[in-house]
Amino acid sequence: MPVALSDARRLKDLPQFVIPDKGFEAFAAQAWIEFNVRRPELRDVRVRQAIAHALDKNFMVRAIWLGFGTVATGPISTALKQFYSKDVKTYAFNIEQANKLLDDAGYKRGANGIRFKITHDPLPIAEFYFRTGEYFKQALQKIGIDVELRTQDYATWIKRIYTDNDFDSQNATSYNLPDPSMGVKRYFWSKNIAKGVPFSNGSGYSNPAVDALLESAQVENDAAKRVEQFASFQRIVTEELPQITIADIQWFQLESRRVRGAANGPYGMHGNLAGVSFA
Amino acid sequence: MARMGCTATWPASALPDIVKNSRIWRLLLSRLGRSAVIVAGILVVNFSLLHLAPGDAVSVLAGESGGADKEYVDRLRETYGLGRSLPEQLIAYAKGLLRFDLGWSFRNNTSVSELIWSRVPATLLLVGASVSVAVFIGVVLGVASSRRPNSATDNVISVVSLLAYATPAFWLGLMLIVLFSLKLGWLPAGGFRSADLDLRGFAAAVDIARHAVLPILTLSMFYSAIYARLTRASMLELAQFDYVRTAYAKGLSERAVRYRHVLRNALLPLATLLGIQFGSLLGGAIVIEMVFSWPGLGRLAFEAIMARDMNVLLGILFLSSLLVVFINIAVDMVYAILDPRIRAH
Repeated sequence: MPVALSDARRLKDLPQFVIPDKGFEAFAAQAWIEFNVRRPELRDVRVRQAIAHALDKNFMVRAIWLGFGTVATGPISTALKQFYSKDVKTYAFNIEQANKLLDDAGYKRGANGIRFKITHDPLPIAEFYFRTGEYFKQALQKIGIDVELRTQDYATWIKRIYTDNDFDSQNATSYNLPDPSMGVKRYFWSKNIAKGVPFSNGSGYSNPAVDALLESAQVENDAAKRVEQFASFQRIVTEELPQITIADIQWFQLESRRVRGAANGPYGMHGNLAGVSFA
Repeated sequence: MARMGCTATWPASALPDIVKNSRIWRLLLSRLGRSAVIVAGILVVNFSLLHLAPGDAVSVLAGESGGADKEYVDRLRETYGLGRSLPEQLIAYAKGLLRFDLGWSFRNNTSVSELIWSRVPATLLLVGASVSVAVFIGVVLGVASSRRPNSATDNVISVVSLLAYATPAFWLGLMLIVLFSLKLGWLPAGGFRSADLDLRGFAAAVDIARHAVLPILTLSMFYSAIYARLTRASMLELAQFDYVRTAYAKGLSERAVRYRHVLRNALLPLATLLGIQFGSLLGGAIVIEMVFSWPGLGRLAFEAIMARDMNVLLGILFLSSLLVVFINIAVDMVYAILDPRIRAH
């Protein structure tokens, strides 16, 4: 049963429930906002960087994720300790800098204060995606970008993003999985721009340097070299921002205190119930 | 419908008459023939409409499992026959139907007919019991309020049925859960039976009945109100007719006139409405089944829409349309039993 974050906060304080502080390590979930870089305005990296400056990630973690996560710096989660790199370009919450970047990119405010208009499609399966969309709209209003929020059902969303590419921006979460070659590569590798394949490279981002890094990391046997390759990858992607990573999300399970052995592996609710019993 | 000066009392030999009456059999045959055309039309319309929805089962399956690669997705579409053109898919589906094969649910990995049959009892219980309760309450209240129009009883019944008519079913259901499950703790808040699988026989029946009370009450409320209003109106209208005065003149008691002469004719429009509303009752059941987590066809249909599980959805819609068509034929036949004049014409 999915539990709303707001309910989880309330329920975990009740004496009969507990939220174990482990259990989902194999997934390393992240929340992000992705751009369709085929669109004229969003093709300009300065526009994407301006949007990153306009988003207060601390606020998003506090107000949208209700503290079930930490601010992310790039496309590899801190949960993947050996691959995560701190040495990346970060974007301080700074409206003036965002406005300056947009001015430099040539998108002046019109008479109504609007520079241009984009659409945003939250993944329509849980409340936090809609909240992220609403915050995105409000935040971008301050830098003169008008955001139109759209809703649809799950299958329509999948088709819109990954088959028709008929979107400007969207937000969702995804799993890094135990290795970046499994869960991260798919969003940034240009050969994975695959129509009809959910959670592939939907942004249309294509950079031969990134492709080369991802491909060699996939087959590299030297662990240290792989770490180096992924560090370079994180540097380039945080510079070019086809996705803005918002937060490393801590998925969790809410358990009755009568349940024993439910948090018995790194796969959380995707694991099995072999060791579970009632006290 | 002509209701001129003819009393409709129950002839002792009604049923044998019907069996012998060739008119009725011809009527039945022509209705069946027409229904075949209607059902085929419904099938084509359903099929075309459903495929207007963006996305397919594979995008949902692969999306929910967190992603996939191109080869895997392509192979799934190939296996499920989703790569073919729509007319080809329709012809394949219709061919299957002729062999009584409703197809395969790729999402549930079981045959559609098995899936549907496993859900039929719950919906049948919900809809059947709701219709019975609605007709019973509706007729009782309708008769009671028609005895003395504009009396206190009549006014109270009118206000209550107006309220029941105007209340959205999903809201009523949620409020009943709040009252009876959360506050009072008398009845379970949802589901078809409790997790205790050891219940057998009578105990199991009581368990299911306890789960069924709130959904049945919720679904029947709206229809009870309509039937009460309808029964009251037709009772009052029929009381003005000459044949009723004739019946009184014959020296029959008020009771006999009310129940044998007036009520019996007043049931005819009710039967018509029941037949027409059966489809919407199945539709209403979807909302109730979602509110009460009732494992019936309605919830199966809803889940099938979200998952783009077209075979399941087509199967449910096809069977529902069959059911509605046959219920309406049955209603036509019930007229013949209720009203001898229809047999005569």
